[in-house]
Order: sequence, then structure tokens, then C-alpha cells
Amino acid sequence: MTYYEEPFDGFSIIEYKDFELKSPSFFVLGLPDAGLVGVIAAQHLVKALKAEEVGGIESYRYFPPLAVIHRGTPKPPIRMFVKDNLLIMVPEVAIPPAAVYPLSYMIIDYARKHGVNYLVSIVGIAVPNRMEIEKPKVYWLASTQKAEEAVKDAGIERFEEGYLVGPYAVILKESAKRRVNNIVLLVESFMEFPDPQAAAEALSVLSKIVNIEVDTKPLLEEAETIRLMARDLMKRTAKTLAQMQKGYEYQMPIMYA
Amino acid sequence: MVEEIRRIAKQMIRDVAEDIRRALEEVEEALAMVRPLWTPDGCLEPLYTVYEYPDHYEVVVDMPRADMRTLSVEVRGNKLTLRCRLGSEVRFERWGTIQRHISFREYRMTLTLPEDADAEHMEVKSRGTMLVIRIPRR
Repeated sequence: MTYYEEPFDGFSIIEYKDFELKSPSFFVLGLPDAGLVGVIAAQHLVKALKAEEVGGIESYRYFPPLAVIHRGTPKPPIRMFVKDNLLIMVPEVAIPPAAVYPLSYMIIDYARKHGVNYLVSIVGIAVPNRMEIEKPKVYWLASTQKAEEAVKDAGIERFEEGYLVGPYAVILKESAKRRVNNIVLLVESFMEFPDPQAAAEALSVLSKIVNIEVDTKPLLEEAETIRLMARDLMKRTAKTLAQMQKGYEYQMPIMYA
Repeated sequence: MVEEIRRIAKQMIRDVAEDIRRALEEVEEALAMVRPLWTPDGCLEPLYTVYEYPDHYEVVVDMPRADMRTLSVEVRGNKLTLRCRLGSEVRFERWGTIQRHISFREYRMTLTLPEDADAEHMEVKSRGTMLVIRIPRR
């Protein structure tokens, strides 16, 4: 089944099919984070766009020795799908803290190799009063001027002050360093409960940026079932987030200037 | 001299007790990660978080698809037990490794309360299928 496999510091990128992304191309990252916002958004994107599975990411060093079985076929713990100008990453496991740096570097290298124009990170930013919030707000961050240009007309505010913890933080910093365009969409969410509503808000903004129609109605209609199904991944992710000191995101940086 | 030995011995006992407590916590945590959030008899364990405030505890419980009219929260000693039926039976044709259909009908969880929790004065509120249990501290 493997068409191409490339090792990278404890990981392997596997491609089953050759693919070419239309331009401008976006690599949507749905890594497990607060409220599993990225995972739920990426999964819905794959379903709504009927994206084609083209590969995945495996690691015998960082991931537990597991095979994800779908329709009787073993899949890698992180799967990748393509539709037109979108490459979409959908993990099925929590990312262990030790894997954060190498995985982040690998994602950036892979995006550059495929000539991806923009990396898009969908991040849940935990807010303590999430239960009282009817419509979660979405904020943006950008690693470059070009990424900023791509997001600034989406009608959302920039995330001005605070901490970002986890793989998305590393991807943002490293993208800025290497002049890779990384758009970060940060959505108010629960920390430890799956949050499909936050994922729907992120997708509404994403659709404006990438200029595609994504119907989020089915996601909201199935929200209760998604919350039920995502409990196990959320439980494991919450543990890894605690190990990564995700609680920092509740704090304000001490620097004034 | 005798006092000094006694002091050192007490400290050693305290250190050993602390080590045992930490080891037990680690074992409990490891077991919790292995234990599934469901039982074959159709019960789901909800995700929950306990927040600790200076004057109270707050237990937030996520129970998607629950019928909140059937909610029951009981406290016996320091054990809080929550039960709530699902709005409709949730049926999966092939569930994980058991490879056969399974139906879930109810959420059920038991939580050990901290010693200073005043369960007699607890308040239970819900918003949709999320639950907040506020328990004052003594």
C-alpha cells in the first residue's frame, strides 16, 4: 500500500498516493489540544469535503505500539487527506510531550517540501467561563506578513497577549524563524471536554480564509454524539496537556512592554 | 541525642508515607488511563473535572445526550454517586475491540469527595447536558 516513506527523527511520513495541491495551498493541522477543537474541525472538514486519504504519520519511537483499524485496514495514528488545495491532518491519538518538537519540525519540513503556501493551526484556547459563552470567539496569530494578509480580512481579532502551549506553539515559533506562513486560529473552548461548537466557529473562519464552503450545520446537529464519541481521546489528551503545562494559557505574561 | 534520633525517625516515617502516597497516586492514574470509560452492561462514565476554590469545590460533568430529568446525585459518606439516563439508547453496531453491537443507556460515576467537602449544602445546576455541582468547604 505504501507508495513513499520518509523517516524524520523518529517519525515516518507515509504516502499511499501521489498528489498535487492546487494553489494557494493550505495544510490544515488538527492536532489534539484543548477541547479537541482541531481534531473535530479537521475530521468534519474531511467528511464534508469528501477528502481523499493520501497518507499518514507513524512513529515507533513516540507513539504507543498501536494500529488504528478502519474498515479492516490498519492506518497510521495520524492520517492525511487531500481535497483540491487542502491537505488535512487528522490524528487519532494524543501527542506525547516528547513528540512535540520533532513532530512540529517535521510538519514544517514536509509542508515546505510540498510547496504548501500556508500552514493553518486550529487551536482550542481554554477559557474558564466557557459554559457561559454562547458563541465562542475566534482570534488569529500569524508567523509572517503574508500569513497576516491572508487572515486579516476574516473579520476576527488578533490574539494580543497570552501564552500558547503545545505543538502549535512550537510550529508558530519555528515557522516565524524559517519564514513559513503559519496562520493560527485560536477558538475559545473547554479545556477538558470535547467542544464541537468551538470547532464549528473555527471552520466558519477557515472557510473564509481558504475560500471554500464548509457546511457546519451537520457538525452542530451531531455535536452531542461527537462529544460522546470523543471522550476517550479527550481523556488522554487532557493528560498530555497537563504534562505540557497547558495551564499556562490561563495566565497573563508578566512583561509590560 | 535521643530527641534528635526521635525527630529524624519521625521525619523518615513522614517521607516514606509521602513516597507511598505518591506511588499510589501514580498507580491510580495509570489504572485510570487503562480503564475504559464504559462498561459492557451499558453504562458510560462521563468526563468530569473538579475545581478547587478557597470556599468551595466545583465538579463539572459533561454528559452528552443525557436526559437531565433523570439525573440523580447522592452522597453517602465521602462518596458522591451520579446517575443519569441517556435521552435515547445509544447503539453502536461494532464497538472497539469487542466487535459486536453495544447499547448505552446510562451515565454513572462515583467520586471520592475531599474531607472538608460539605455535601449537605451542595447545589446542582445544569446547562444543557453539562452539570455543575457546587460543594461548600467546611
